[in-house]
Amino acid sequence: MIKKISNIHVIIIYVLILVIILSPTLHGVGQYWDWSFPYFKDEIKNYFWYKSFSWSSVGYGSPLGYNSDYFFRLMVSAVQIFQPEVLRFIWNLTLLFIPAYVSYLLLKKNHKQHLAILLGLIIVINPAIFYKVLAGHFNYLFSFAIFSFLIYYLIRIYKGRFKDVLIVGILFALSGAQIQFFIFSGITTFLYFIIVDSNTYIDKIKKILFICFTVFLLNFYWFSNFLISQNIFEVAQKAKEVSFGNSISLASLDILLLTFSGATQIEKYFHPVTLALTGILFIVAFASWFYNKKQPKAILYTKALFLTFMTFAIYSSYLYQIPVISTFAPMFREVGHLAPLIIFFLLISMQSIHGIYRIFYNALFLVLVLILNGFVFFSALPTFNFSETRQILSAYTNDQNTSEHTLIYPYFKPYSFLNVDSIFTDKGFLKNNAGVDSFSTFSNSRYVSSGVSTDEITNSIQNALHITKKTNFLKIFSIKHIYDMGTVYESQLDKYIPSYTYNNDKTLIKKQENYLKELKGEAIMTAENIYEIKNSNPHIYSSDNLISINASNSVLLLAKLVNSGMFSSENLFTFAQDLSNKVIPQNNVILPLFENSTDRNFKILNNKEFIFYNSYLNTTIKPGTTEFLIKPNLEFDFINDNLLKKIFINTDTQNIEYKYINKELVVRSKYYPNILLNNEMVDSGIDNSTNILTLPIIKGYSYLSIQNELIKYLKPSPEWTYLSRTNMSTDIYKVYPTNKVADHSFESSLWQEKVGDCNNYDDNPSISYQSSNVASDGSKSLELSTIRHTACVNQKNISLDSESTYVLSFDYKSDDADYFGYNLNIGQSTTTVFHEKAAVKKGAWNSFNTIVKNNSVATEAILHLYAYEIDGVTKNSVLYDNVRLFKIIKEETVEFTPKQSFESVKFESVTDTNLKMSDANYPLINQVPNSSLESGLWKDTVSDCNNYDKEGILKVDLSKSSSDGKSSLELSVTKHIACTGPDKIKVTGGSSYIFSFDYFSNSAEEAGFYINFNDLNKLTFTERIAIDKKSYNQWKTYTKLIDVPADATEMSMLVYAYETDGKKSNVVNYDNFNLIEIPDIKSRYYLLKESAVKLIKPKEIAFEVINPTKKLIYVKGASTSFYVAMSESFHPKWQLQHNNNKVNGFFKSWIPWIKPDTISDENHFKLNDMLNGWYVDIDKHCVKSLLCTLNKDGTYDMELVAEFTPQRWFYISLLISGTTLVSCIGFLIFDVTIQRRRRRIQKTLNLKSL
Amino acid sequence: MKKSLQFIIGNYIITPANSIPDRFLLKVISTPLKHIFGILFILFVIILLSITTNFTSVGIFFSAFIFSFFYWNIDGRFSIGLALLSLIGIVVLKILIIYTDLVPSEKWPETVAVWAYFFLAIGILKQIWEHLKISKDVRTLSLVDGHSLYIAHPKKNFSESTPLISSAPKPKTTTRTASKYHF
Repeated sequence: MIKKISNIHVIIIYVLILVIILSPTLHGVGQYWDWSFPYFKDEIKNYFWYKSFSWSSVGYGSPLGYNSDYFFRLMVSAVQIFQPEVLRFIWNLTLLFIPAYVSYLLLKKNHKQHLAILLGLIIVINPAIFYKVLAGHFNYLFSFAIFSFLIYYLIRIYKGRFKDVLIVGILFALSGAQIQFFIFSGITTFLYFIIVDSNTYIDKIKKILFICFTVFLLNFYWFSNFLISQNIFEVAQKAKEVSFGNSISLASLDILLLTFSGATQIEKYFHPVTLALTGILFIVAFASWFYNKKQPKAILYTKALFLTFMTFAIYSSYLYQIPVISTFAPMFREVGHLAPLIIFFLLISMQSIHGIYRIFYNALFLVLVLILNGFVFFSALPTFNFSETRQILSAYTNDQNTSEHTLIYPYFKPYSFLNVDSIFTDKGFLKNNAGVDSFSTFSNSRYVSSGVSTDEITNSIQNALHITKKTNFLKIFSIKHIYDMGTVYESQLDKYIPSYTYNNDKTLIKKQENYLKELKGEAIMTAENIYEIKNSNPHIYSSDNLISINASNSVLLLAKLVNSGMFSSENLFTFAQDLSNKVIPQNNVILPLFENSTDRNFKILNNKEFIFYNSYLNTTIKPGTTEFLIKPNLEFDFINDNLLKKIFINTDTQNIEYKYINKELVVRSKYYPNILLNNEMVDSGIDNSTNILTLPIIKGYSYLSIQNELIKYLKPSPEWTYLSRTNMSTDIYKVYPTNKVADHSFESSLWQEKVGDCNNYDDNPSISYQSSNVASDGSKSLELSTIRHTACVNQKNISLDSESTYVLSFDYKSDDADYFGYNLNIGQSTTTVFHEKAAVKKGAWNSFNTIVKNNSVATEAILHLYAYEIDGVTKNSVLYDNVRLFKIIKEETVEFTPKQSFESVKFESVTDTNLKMSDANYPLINQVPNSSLESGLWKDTVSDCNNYDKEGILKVDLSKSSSDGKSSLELSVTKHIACTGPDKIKVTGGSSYIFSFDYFSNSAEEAGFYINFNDLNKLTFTERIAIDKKSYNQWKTYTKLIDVPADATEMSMLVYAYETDGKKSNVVNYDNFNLIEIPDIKSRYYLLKESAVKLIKPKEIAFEVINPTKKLIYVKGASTSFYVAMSESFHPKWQLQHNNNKVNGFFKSWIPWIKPDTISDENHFKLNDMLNGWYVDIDKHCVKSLLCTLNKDGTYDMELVAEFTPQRWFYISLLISGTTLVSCIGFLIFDVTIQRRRRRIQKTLNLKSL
Repeated sequence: MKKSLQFIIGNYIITPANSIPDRFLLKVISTPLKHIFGILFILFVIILLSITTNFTSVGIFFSAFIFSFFYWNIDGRFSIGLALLSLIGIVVLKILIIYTDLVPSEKWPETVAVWAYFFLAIGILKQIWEHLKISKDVRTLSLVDGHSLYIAHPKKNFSESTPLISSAPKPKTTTRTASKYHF
């Protein structure tokens, strides 16, 4: 018989084991996932302060959301005697010890002591808790510890006394440091009163209400954030966004096996044997439920909790279907949060078992499970040395409490420390060393946030700097420094997000050598790796010029406007949509011509013209022409507005052109305004061409260019000839003069004595060939005809050089064939085959060019040309001529990135001004073959795009109901998804296309399409379009503006008919497909409208930061109204007040019930797409209301306060919560004292009675 | 108190020995009305659900199972036992999928996992229901008679417990019994 050991010994054992397991983290742990803790001792206080006002000043600041960990952070920050890594170690140890010990206390009555000790440890040393420790979920571990103690208190100690109810309320409230635990503790407490508590219902309700009231009061400090400044739905939505997206569909299997691998990816850290043995232990726990007849109340209670949390984990996705609840569902749905609870309840509800289960219910097995799990804790936590890190980071520490911002390079988290070894999974994900930037988070200085959400990367300050390569615009965001931390950090963002979110430009993410040194602008290096931006705007400053931009909000546009010198950095910028319901006089208004031309507001007209709608313009695009006709909207005749002064033209989009000059091939970049004012091309008068390449030409050789797969022969011309556009890489090749194809123009023969049959499937061909007098070169061509089989001719023994590149070109023409094609076999024994069967562009002669690479040593080739059978009945012919096969050698690559700026041209509007945009390089041609299905179906058979059981019922046909021409495509489906589409369509990489089609149905609920490009990332667009029953029998048009990836050359397209229930037949008709390349028009043309109002900014403005929510502003010498800018994130609750006795005084400085003299809300606007700006009206505030001090020179001085007003409510609510906490603790201390005294008196009485 | 009926399924399975018509008929005729009503009601529920809802056969089975469980007062551990079998089944299926081609679809373990969850849920709910029911009965009796109890085993019927209510208060016994229901 093993002698029982005391609880003190158990505590010592637990502490020792946990110290051993966590010992590798003693020198520091973190820099992975959500770990975030100060590196410097003097910044430990910031762990509390950085989120302890209603406004957090991290980054550009943000209002507090569900920041329920106030008291927890206060506790952590209270102890500043240790270095941060030691403090964190102590906390981690404590937070694992509490649930383990509490579990032991619960388990020891149902198990032998040594088994209870082991099970208690397994409750905190298992994969689910490992995931929380690994991820650095500090708040969670704290809440879990408090929560476990709450369970212990309810089961073991609670007796229904007042102090019990109070303690339950306090524990409930404290457990909410991780907000989900409010729900968890609420459920736990409620179920306790249902299952365990045996009092009357009235009594139960009273206690529940009292607990809820206590919890409410203790947490009132952050509830008030919701009541005053935060929309709870917005916060919940944010939680929804940051939760695991895929765990909504997490399989029940993962939950029941209790490995939770689907969501937490713990399989990357645990050996399968460890997971299997741990899983067996859990099955044994289930077995104990079956084994034991006895069902004590407490066991039933914990089982009920297990079932509840298990149900949340498995069926939380259903919560998304319930209105309102769906908003909050993310707060308690995350499986990673539920897993430790499920394991906790499963193991504490475990009962002692015997028989066959003893194989897995004994100390040996439990020790094995513990060692295997403990080893993962010991070896796999993301450890690194804080002390070394402090030394490295000390070069960047800035003791100044500056309000200006610092930008860190590399730009985006997650970061890896370069001095820490990174461990990767097979798939390239990091298993350590990829986390947030704790250095800037807890710093005394302010930084631009490196945690930009993926959808904001392309609209971030960092991206704008990366594109423009000029630092001037950073001034308007009050950025004073740039820290090059490339010697400390490496960004790993590219490993976690798809590349299209950063425009496939990895140089934005990864460090580039000399990147910061090569930036243009007023940034100078003041210390190693530290750059200072001269004349950066201070945190608060004034201005006399506000420029409103009537375009989509874009930091990049601001950067271009400031960097190009059009406007100085002292100007303020705002976007028109941020001025709705505002009364702000604007000095200048910038109107984009096409900025709003997105898929949402353009449509196709019946006469096949596309019309873009915009608030003041309608722009019509007519396919087949090269002109965009721009007309004012009826209500807004801006063109004839005499305040319009200039047209700004973004010069980013330029033409790459070539010309043979003397004995050189010259390639240049030139920007063309492409704007016609009253039918005349506007000209800025500046020669803005840049020579990119000069190539000496060799006599007898010609040249061609290849951009993506597009081949162009560079023919001599007296004019500059269009080659490509900027931002497109183009290769220039030298073409050898010798054509390898003999009789290339079929002038003397047809290559073969008789036509060949290249698809003799039934010995019944009907093919022919002849010489035709219709030729593209010379006087004759080859005419290949077929009714049945594939007609072909070939030329053998074409001699090639080994390991060389060739260009194969020929002309073709057909009026009746669907396809033409060729085949080139290189070599004899081992052949390399180049083959293409492509759709015919009917009518005129067309040229076909392709590149052929002979990577072998073979020197002979055979070339075939084909005419393909259509249906075995219809005859079709293809003419071929001018077949060429030239050797080519690459000479140069043309790449040019323009200098990201604007040109301006004067705009003198007269009555009936006529404005057009025209670009001859865009013929606006529809690229969809057989776009209106007039030549039959794209494919004879229907495809099944969801063939889940091989029993699809689907059909494709032509219908006479059409929106264009005489026929349309009809897709029918009963089961599966019917789909069809044309052959692959050639597209120009990096271009924009208008995509549209008409659809119609009187039975289906949805139409849909799928578009896929052949770029590296296989970019895909797909959409299901709901068909309203009210619109049955009406043709509808779908339109979308599509940006083709730069490296794409082909596009695949499918349209769908979707199954409803496997029984109902759905028919969808499609017609009139359009895919038209249009010039880059977005962010390219702007009109500047000047205001007659001229303001003067005050002579002097100074400020003083009281705290993150309050700043004093001193204005001197204001002669006219002016603007005030403050570099805090815009929030409507920021208020600019006059600093007078209405906001000062012992009470008035913090109570919310005051009526200050404020700059009204309608004068408060969003500045630079993100900051705060105010318009201060001197007339109103100084002349009429006499709130300013009048100077002798007639100017005014004033004192203002910029205040985040919810802070006043925060003070009140914190007072309530603090008072409640102090009262509760006071009562408990009082109660303990009284009890002790009573016991002492009782003891004395007992002694006396004896 | 009325003694509850024990439903023993073996009594209703027809064996060769039952083939003699009169014996079979005897068995049918001697079936208590509660069982006949239960079986008919289950059949009715199955038919109703299959006609009026989109429930799968598994859904209908679990609906009938829940009803049977509560109607015949079957021990909650029976359902937990089935859950345990399902859990072991998941592991077996996973192993078969990894090492053999015997399992045609990888969805099978997931399907069995759903069953396991349902069995667990039904078992636990049944046990809680039993507990709450007894607590309520005990409370009612306690209030009516003003006497203490010392028997409240959830698995036993009150009628089988002796004595349910003591003729005289037995405070010591009560205390001991109550503590039995805590850890």
